[in-house]
Amino acid sequence: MDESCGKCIPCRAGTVQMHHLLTKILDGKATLKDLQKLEELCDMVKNTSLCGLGQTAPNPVLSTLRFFRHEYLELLRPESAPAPVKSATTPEVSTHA
Amino acid sequence: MAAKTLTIDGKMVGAHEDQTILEAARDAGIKIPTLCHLEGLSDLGACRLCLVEVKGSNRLQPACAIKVAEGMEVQTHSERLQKYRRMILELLFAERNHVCAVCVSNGHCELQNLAIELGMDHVRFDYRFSGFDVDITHNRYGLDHNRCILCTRCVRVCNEVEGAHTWDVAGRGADARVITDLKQPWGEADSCTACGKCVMACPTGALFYKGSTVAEMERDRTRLEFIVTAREKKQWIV
Repeated sequence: MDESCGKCIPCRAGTVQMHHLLTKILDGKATLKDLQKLEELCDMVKNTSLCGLGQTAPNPVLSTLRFFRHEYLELLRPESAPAPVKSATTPEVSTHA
Repeated sequence: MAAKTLTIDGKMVGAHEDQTILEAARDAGIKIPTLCHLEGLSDLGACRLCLVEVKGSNRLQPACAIKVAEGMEVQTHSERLQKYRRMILELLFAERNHVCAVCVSNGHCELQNLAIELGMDHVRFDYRFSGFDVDITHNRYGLDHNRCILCTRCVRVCNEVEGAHTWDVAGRGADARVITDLKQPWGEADSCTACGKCVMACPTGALFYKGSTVAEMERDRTRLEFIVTAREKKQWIV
């Protein structure tokens, strides 16, 4: 967040929202909807940012979502986490974009 | 001047070689949404709303900054682009306090109009509730940072048309904001000529005439257009 210069909107406002969503997930307050929102946001920031900073800033989030999705799912609010689906999808999530 | 032929949304379009995709599309009657672009000012490519898909390039290109080329195939309203545009608007609305109901520009705001046009009817992101100051030290105009979208039209119009360069951007990222002179209150900025071109150029309610209340702030862009056409084309068309 501190590195964004603030010229283009996706990077200036998008990285702030990414950080906010990640904090929400870490605090155990997020739902599955927040996770989907985070993925959509990352895709948008990556594809629409003006320079390389914004275009690559979502990469760590996207790759951890790809390879460690189960860890994200475990942190979701208990009522929103799809418990039976979680264990079934974890092994082959790498096919996800 | 060489002419170029390109395809925009499947429509064959002819354009001069020094025209941008945005200008060529506009001449062909295709509307591409923009926010930081203003006729007569240099282009920045910062708002990312005019991004278009150009065949052969895997990156989205800002239509306001890319010149036309022979045989170019442009898509301006694909599903993906519309989704991105709506999300950019959501980010803008969530970033600072864009509360239309109490805004001087309600009904005459480019941000509001775009949200309606692109179908951005709700904001999925949490509002950040910026707590910036409001500068009303100038005797004729006011500045509310909380309504600013950092399009820098004011910065460019002051520098390029008025030639005063009173405005600039200070700070980075989410803390960035427009400043007058060396971050003095606007009323104390010596370089300001009080011409009001920045107020005319502002797309939202960030810059306003003092004394205007909710929905009263209408901007006269024709005066800006008049100055620019007079200078560039030597045509004094009122």
